[in-house]
Amino acid sequence: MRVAIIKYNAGNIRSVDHALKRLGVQALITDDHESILSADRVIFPGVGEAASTMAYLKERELDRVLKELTCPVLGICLGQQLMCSWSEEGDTPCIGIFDQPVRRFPADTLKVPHMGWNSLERVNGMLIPHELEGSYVYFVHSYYVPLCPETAAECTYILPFSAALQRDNYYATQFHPEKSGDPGELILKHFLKL
Amino acid sequence: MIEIIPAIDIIEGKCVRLTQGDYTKKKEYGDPLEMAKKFEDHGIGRLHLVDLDGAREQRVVNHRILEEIAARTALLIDVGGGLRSDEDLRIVFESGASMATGGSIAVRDRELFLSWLKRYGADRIILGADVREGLVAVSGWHEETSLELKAFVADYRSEGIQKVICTDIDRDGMLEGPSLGTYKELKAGDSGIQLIASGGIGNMEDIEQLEEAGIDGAILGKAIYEGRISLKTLENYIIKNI
Repeated sequence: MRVAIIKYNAGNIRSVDHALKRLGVQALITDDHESILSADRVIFPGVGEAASTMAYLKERELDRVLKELTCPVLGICLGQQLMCSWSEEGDTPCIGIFDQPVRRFPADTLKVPHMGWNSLERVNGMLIPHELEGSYVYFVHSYYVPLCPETAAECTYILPFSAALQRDNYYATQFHPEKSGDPGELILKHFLKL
Repeated sequence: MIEIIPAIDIIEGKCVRLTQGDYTKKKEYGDPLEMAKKFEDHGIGRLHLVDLDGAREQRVVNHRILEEIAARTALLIDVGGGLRSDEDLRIVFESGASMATGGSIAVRDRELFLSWLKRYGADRIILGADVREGLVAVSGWHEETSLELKAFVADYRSEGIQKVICTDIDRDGMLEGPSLGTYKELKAGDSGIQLIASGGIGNMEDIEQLEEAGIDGAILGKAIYEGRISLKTLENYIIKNI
């Protein structure tokens, strides 16, 4: 199986690569359109800021390539947010695979970013095995996708938000499966088998 | 990429730091649960819990504290110190540990340690290799053996161990930098090992050097407790390096 990890100006790409290696998968980290379009699985990871990463993706037309994919695609963290239609971070129009906004957590007694382990609730859809209902996974984020018809798992921090999304062949998680121990490993394995 | 793992060492219910494993050079830092919660608030995902009473008594002693931290935080906890019997292991896992570290037992009773590895798996059983001048030490570091570190680790690697915490006793609590050469050497001969460095880490440059050397985790003790590395700094490091 050919797994492509989208190479762009965001962090976290190496972590995902490492997690796949632990599963015995040698992924290709690439920004080459052909390699991405011909892959069996595409992972769109990322840690960073929305406006500058979107600008980079547009310049290389990776936004268009991502929309054209027909294989299972997994967006992680910033990857998930960039797959939405717009982000409050820098008032940035995004790729628009999920027709949802990305909002900043409101000021609260709880601090932002939301960092650490939190539990998955109302798990549905095909990405996350249902036995992981209630399992703890690792989050680091200041922006979130509200609950919506595409929500495939929920989490609550300050307010309930989408911990995962699914639409057609597109899957996304706000948490980091590659940093989420056993549950995370199970999700990645599951993604590779979809 | 390198995982930041703060240590909580416990004596008589309190969070303490020793210097070079010496119980007479003890400094107290308050309630372990409060400390664990503080780590969690700064995005830390994992904790290295050392039962120093257990290490001295050669059985698990402070499992109530483990239970409390496991129940009231979401931290992944690996526990070490005094694990000598099947009963000790059952207690720590039932109390909420995600992983257990065997040091002395791996030296003294290879068969028993391997039976734990078989029963609980390589994700949950960590080899604790505590070393002084290249030789493995046991029993809360009060005894040295004639075992060479590399051979000791290689033997258990061949039996399926994946995770190794390697502590340089002479550096522990000294804040003068980790035993980088030792870790590089272990990693060079065995790239698949999940190696966690412990002892001597005193600043962020130490962490960055370990990261560059491809070391998988760094245990931090005194550097945090003495304020050499602030939790805010660690939080920012985790955000940038996730």
